Amino acid sequence: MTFDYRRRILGYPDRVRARPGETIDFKISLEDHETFLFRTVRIVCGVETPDGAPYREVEIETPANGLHEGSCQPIDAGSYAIIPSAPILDRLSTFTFQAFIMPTLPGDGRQAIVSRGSGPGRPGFAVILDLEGALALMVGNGHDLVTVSTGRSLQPWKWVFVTASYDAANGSVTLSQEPLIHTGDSSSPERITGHAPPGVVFAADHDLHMAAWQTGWHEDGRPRMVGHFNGRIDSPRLASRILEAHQTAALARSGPTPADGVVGAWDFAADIPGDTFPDRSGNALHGRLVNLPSRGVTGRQWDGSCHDWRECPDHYAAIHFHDDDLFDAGWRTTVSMAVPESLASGVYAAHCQAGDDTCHIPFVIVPEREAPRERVAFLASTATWLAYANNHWQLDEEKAEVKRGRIIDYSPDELFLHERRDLGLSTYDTHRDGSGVFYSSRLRPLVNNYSPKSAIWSFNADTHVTDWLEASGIPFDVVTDEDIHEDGVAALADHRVIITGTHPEYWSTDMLDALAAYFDRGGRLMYLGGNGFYWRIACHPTRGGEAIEVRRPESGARFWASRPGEYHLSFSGERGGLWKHIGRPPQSLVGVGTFATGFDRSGWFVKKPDIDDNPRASWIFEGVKGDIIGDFGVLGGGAAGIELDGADEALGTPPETIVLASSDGHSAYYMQSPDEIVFNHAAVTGDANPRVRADMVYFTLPSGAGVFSTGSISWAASLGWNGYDNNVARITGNVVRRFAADAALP
Amino acid sequence: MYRIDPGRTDLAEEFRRNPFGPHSAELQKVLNVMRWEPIEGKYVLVNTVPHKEWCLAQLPGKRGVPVTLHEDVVFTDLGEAEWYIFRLRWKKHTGVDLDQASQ
Repeated sequence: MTFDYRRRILGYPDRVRARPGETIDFKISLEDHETFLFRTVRIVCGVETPDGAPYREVEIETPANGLHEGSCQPIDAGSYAIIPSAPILDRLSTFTFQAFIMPTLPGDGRQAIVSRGSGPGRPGFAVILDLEGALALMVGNGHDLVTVSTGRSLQPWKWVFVTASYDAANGSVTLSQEPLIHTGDSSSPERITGHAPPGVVFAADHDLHMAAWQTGWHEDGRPRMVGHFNGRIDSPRLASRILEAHQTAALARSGPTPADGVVGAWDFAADIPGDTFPDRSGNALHGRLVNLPSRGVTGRQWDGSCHDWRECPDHYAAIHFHDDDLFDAGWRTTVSMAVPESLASGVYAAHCQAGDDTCHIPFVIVPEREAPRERVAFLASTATWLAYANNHWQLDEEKAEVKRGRIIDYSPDELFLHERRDLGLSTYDTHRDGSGVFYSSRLRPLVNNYSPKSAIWSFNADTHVTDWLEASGIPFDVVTDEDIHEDGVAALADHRVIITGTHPEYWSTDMLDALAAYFDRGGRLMYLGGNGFYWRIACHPTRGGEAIEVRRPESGARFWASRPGEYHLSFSGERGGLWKHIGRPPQSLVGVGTFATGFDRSGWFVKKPDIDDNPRASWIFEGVKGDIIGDFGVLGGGAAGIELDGADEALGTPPETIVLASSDGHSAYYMQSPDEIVFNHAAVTGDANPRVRADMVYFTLPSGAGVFSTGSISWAASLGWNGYDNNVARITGNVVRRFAADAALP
Repeated sequence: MYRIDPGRTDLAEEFRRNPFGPHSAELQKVLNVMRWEPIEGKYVLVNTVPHKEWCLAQLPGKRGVPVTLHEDVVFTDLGEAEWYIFRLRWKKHTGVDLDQASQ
């Protein structure tokens, strides 16, 4: 009997959150089944552990519930460019193509740089890297297909100027590859000629593509693409005549390039935030991009003199394509769910079942715009959930065990994810060529870190907070990161208290500004997590939270590092990285910020000795006996663990802040975060360094605002211990009730 | 670079008694060496029954290639699994079979 970890039912919704009366379209794919049962459930506690609060979901009546038909829906991962078919392309016969390219996986399969048409009976051409990683031109007349190659492999991660031409008069083919930096034999220029069938006219029913070629069509009408290019392309040009060397050199210059016989001169430095690129030839062959290739990356002209693509776009006239990029899986809608008007704000999921195969597809119901608000709102960290979704780090990174301090144990979903690379990556992963993943999209099945019944992390860990609120009889609404990104402080302002999840790590500028404005209006925040308010993100300029972007500049707890010159987000142009390095450290917002991380055993908090005598803070510990807080829990066995935040006035902790308790009991596998260290030394671990700790803090602001921060990811995983009867739950309850009341805070 | 001393079976015994730590500084060095192995063939666990059962597995070191499952090596306790893999790695690094060394 072989262990079966294959997922035969997958899906995603078209939106992360909806209001009563709106419709959510679910896109479901089935394998080995023809029908599935759709149930709407409210997720009460998503975590299955023997010791903590029990897993619980509650079935909700909606019109969508019931048996539905489904079928297998394909995913075409891999980014590419489309230039829609046009008469000038259909007349193309003799041609020269040229571009600067930087292949990152030469020799790893055939990879197309530009392609037009293909298949039996149809003329076509493709400029490719062949199986040896050498530049090659394929020309076919519908009967014969000839490939001419330089035979010399290109070097990975090196810029090279390539040209490929076809002379229809006699069928002669000329290829040249000219590395921009010559270091020896490996980078010698190469020029070769060959022969292909003469007289081919490249009329085709296909568009012109860059970075992939089309083999046909999917049943739903989408093109079926293969031969994805891994690497960068800069300044591609297509001419309908043979160009001599001095002419290709002239054409290589950026800017408008109308010239005799030029068919297309594409400018990848334009619309860097978006999905389009213009043609500067005058022929209006403007193109668009599919599957979010990386933009705002250094091109062949980048020389280190400029680091912001907004200031010197010519230095960023490159697009980095990957065969594992994915934006919108593009599946058809299988189930449309009209959200009942009566449905309360909360965390929900579509539970889909076909035979023994099941999946949960989470979504959030936020309050109607005009409906009265609950005093308490839970802020669902949808940006952070998305940043971690489909995370392969433990599968691909050899340092995973040495970081965690334990043998890595994989869930069945992770085994499945490891094999189904077409489901796309998380912002913690690297692409197959080693480059960091900038973007994460929610328009694709999200297999790990974004569902109930998974590890205690991200989405699932956050249900410990909502579960406890429900068990405590505290009414609450749920709002999401997307709400505050789009609506600003209006999404928060009508709530007296905002409670975060365990790990509100990723914040756009608009999100952070909204929270700051909330404090100005006297709002109160309970930050029940760690490593919060850490990385800046940007949302897609036209498609909002459907895709987020992150960059990983010089420091921070990173799993890859941004390349030099690539610290600015393509979606917004802003400098990415840690909010601390942008000038807004988490301490200045919530009193604490990332100090350390560790993943073996969690510690506990020790109450500060003078708290009972401090009337501003003693109420927080009302009903709590002893000084040890949270020496129990289902995440590492304690309430102070995983990622730890500390107070530091130098980083902006308000001087009026009261440190209520600090954590202890951290092992040698807990280490200071890299951004905490300016040079390395041996005492960065939890058993040796006093800054490997969490501080639980409380402060008020003159606006009437109040902030309570635990600075620990594992805090919420202790709330359900002993039937919710424990000192972690007691402290959290004391704070939420006081914060929710009208009275001024002490 | 630290090398594991095959004679220090006392460190193995310390790990057996307390696989999840905290560990002595010397045992920590042993574990760092063991845990810093190349990803190809690296021993891992697969959770076959949630919170109850794990089987031994090895990583392929290549994306998309299935993880090798050793379904005949099953654990119902994560500490047992740690000790099993510790013994495999001890033998690999020192050439000494801890099962025989203890007899």
